[in-house]
Order: sequence, then structure tokens, then C-alpha cells
Amino acid sequence: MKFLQPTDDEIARLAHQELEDYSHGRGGPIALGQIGNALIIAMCLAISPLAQLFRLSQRLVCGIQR
Amino acid sequence: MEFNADVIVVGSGISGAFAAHELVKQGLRVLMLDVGNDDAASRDAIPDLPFSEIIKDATLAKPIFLGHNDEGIGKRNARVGAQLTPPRQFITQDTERFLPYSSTTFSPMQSLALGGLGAGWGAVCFTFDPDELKRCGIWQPDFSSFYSEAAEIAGVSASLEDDTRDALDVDPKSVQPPLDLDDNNTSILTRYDRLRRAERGPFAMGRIPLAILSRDRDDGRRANPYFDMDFYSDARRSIFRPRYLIEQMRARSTFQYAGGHLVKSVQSGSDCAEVRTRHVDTGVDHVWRARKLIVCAGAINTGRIVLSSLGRSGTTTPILANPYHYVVCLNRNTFGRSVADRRHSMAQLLGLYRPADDPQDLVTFQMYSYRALLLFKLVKEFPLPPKLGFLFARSIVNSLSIVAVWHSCRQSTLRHAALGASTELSALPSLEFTYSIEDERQREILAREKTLRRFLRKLRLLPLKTVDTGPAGGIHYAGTLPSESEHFPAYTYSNGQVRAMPHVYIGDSASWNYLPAKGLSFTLMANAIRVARHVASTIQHGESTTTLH
Repeated sequence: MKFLQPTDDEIARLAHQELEDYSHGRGGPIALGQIGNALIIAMCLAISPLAQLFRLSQRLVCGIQR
Repeated sequence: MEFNADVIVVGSGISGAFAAHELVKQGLRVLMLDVGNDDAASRDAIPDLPFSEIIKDATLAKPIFLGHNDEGIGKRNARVGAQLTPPRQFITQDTERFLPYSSTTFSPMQSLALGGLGAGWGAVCFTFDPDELKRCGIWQPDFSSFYSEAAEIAGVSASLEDDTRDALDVDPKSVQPPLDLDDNNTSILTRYDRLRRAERGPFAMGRIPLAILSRDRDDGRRANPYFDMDFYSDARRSIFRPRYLIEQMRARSTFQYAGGHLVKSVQSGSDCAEVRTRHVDTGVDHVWRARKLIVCAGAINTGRIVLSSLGRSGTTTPILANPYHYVVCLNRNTFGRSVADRRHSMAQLLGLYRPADDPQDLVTFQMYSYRALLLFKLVKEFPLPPKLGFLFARSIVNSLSIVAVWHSCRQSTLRHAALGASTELSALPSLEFTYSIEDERQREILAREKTLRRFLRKLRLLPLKTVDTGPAGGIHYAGTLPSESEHFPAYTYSNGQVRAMPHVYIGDSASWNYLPAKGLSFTLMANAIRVARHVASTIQHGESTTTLH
């Protein structure tokens, strides 16, 4: 599953985005109670396989084009 | 013969600073030779404000948290030390060039910094019990008094009431009250207190002893402000760092600090010790002499210097490093709840686990909360697309608990270092490390961690992932110049003296024969006092003092 983890470039973009979010007052932890947070996690996990499949196909296309 | 000092101390880390401090206290003239990399500019540029304030200003926050050139972001599969925050990256500066090694199994973190690895130490304090000290080969009847002296000097805060109080056996008058726990760890300790004794089994938990001040001191160091900026700055000097002792000593005429000097070799003559150095900037070689020499260059580099000086190229010597993993857990006690900003970044809770099959072979674990290292670092750990992973991280971060687990390490032919030849004019000889764990021991470690994870679940901590950083990832190293060994040559005596070099002593963990599953830094302090006091005694009872020049 390692190939589906974010690349170093994606992490770098995320790092800058995180600072930007904090400076606009929308960064940091989300605390919506046990049910609220559990729903977010469940949504992430549910979308995850589809999103990963999409990312895998993207990387394959990029690899073939190169 | 003319001497540069009564005693030369090599290295400014925890051992070097405490050895030098003791020698100066004894009235001796001390010269410290060190490379001494530092980054005062980055450190001083950080305002004395809470994380929650600094992070709001992107212009201010970017160089602090990510670095001027994004060096704080790090790369996946990077070497040990790459995770250091930007203001602490000087700790590993120049080590790849000057302290070479090769290995596919062991990648140690080394330092040429002012304060050595102690410049980034996590400040956890343990005392070794007499049996552990004996196995290390450093025990003597009054060793506990060295611990109490170390606690006074470093400034230690600890609970003397928790179930883990045995972890720090010092004079109660030498410690400050414990630091406050954050919401996350308070909920875990409350849950532990509610467990019946039978449910706790072989586990004990409590607030962790730390070399962090909970009260202001007269020497200008102040109490920790709970700003959660401890991985970046410490304007109030609440966390002990070796450079504070060195700054104090530099105000004394009997102490001299020579920075920029990489030690190449040490020798012992008939009535003195000699050190050869090369200046890292000018390339100029120097020779320094003193009545005695204490080498405190860190277990790995001390071994490299002494073995190289003894002409032991090609020979193997043991290496000790605690097997270490960390378990990322979701704390159900705080899941979905807001938590207060007020916290410090270091370990907060300590756990002791005495396995039923061998209660003497203690396993320890430490609990951290997570926030100021930023969420993007967590996203790397999830097999999720970046934005989804980030959302996931934001929803669990308040209840994340990082449990660091340590196991003991003993000598074995499976774990050793071999000295190679010098490959570059400016560098010391390379070391080749081999590190593996016996199959039976590996099974034992896995079984103990399984038992530990069961206990974590009783605390309502849900283990998400166990991370193996590799055997060098714990950054606890020792044993390259043992005083006793079944399989390797013994290079030292229990008083730290090098067998083939009567005027040369080892002041750090290079001479130890064993590593219990405890942080070693506090014992490094006590042992350095012990060795320095012995060296001072040999000078004071045998020879007159010298003129420094």
C-alpha cells in the first residue's frame, strides 16, 4: 500500500497549506464530539478506496506518458 | 612538561558538561575540546509565546515550523535526525562528513553540536537500580549520591507519590513538584487510577520525571510556561541543556572552551595525556596536553576515537542500543472533545512493565500528546490521499497518544561495530555497524508488546499502528569500549580508565556493558560526576596543579 501514500511534493504542499489555514483561523483540530468526529473518520475511510484507485490510475498514466 | 590544563574534556554533551563541571568545582583547570555547532540565531528569533499564538502568523510561523528552505518538512525514508525541527537541525550538522559509518541495519544519530545529543534530549530522567548499575559495570556504593547531585544541577521535576516513584530514586529535597498534565494524559492517568489492582497486572503508571523546571530557580532558569513550543525553543531555559552548564563555566578563569576542534586521536604518555585535533574550518592540526583526559564524545564517537588511537582497525567491538518502537493510539477518553492549549510537548506519563517471565527485565513506556509537530507529518502515516488524510488527522489529533516503548539491550556478537580505515583527510575512520536481535529475544519483545497493547486497551487507548524506527531510532547508544565482555576485548576499567592508556578515561556510556530499558541521560550525568571525581582525586593526591596557557 506504500505507493498510495502521499509523495514528498504533496506533503510539502500540505505543510504550507496547514500554515495558511491556521493563519486564516481555520486550521487545527476538529472537535465535534464523539459522533461528529467518528462520522468524519468513517467518511474518510469510506471514500479512501475509491480515492486511492483514482490516484493509482493517475500515477500509472503519468508513468506511461513519461 | 607544559600542560594546557589539568584535565582535558573531549565533547560538550551531557557527559562532558557534567564531568567538566565537577572538575571545575574541585578547583582544577579544565580545557574542553569540542566542535560545538550551534544555531543561536534561529533559537533567539522565536518569540516567547504559545504555539497557538505563533501559528496564527504565517510569516512568523513559516521559518520556525517549516524552516527557511522547508528543511522542517523532511522526506520519507530519511535518516535518523531528519525529523528534527528547523531550530534544532544544527544537532546533526556535519556528522555525515566528519563521523562516517556504513550499515544496512543500524543508522545512529550522531552530533557535533554544542551540548551534543543533549541539545535535543527529551529530558526524561530515570535512575538505574543497583543491579542495573552493576550490569552496566559502573556501580559503586555511593552512586545514589551522584544522582542527587545531578538532580540539583539539572533541575528535575517529579512526583514522589505515583506508582512509578521508584523510577527516580533521589533525595526528595533535590526535586521540584511534577509538571501539570495536559487533558489527554490526565484522562489516561484518571482511567489508570480507576482500574482495580488486578486489572493493572504487572503495569504501573505515573507522571514522568523530567529535567524540566516546574518552578523558577535562582540561576535565571524559569518554570516551563506550557507553551507547547518545547521542540522549537525554550526562551525560559526550563528544560536542562548542557550548554547552560558550559556558559556558567566559561565565566570561570579555570575553564577554557576551544570550539571548532575535531578530535582525531588521543594518547597516554608516561605522565600526561595528549590529544590531536584538526580545526574544522581552517584544517590546522593542534596538539593539546594535560595530566588527564576524559573522553565524552558520545558512545559511538568515543569508541571510534579510542579504537583508532589504539590502532584497532578491522577489529569489532560491541554496540548497545535499546530496541524501541512507538505505538500510535487513539485515546477514547478524549475522542471528539476539545482540549486546552496549555501543555508542554515532552513525555507526560511513564509506564513500567515487569514481565511475569522475567520481572527484572523491565520494559518502560512513555506517553506523549501530539500537536506542535503539525498535522502534515501525520498524513505521511496514513494510506489516504493528502486532503483526506489531513481531514482524518484533524479529527483524531486531540485524542492522539504516542506511546514510546523501550526494551533492554545486552552485548551480543549479533550487534557490533568494526573500525575501518580513514577515507578522507578531514574525517575520522568509518565505522561499520551490524545490528540484529536474536530470534528468541525478538519473539519475547513482540509478546511483551502484545501484552502492553492489551493493557493500553484497558486504559481506553486504541492502538492504531506500531512503528519500528529501526534499532538506532531510540537514540540510546552505549558499550563500544566495554569494561567486561564475554565475546569482545575489554578496553576499560570500571572507574572509566582506558586499560592501555593510564591517563585517559571514558566519561560517557562507551564503557557500559549493558543498557536497561530506561533513558540513559540522567545516569550519564551521575556517571560523569563519578568519573570526574575519581580523576580529580588522582590528581589532587598525586600531583600538583599546573599553569594554564
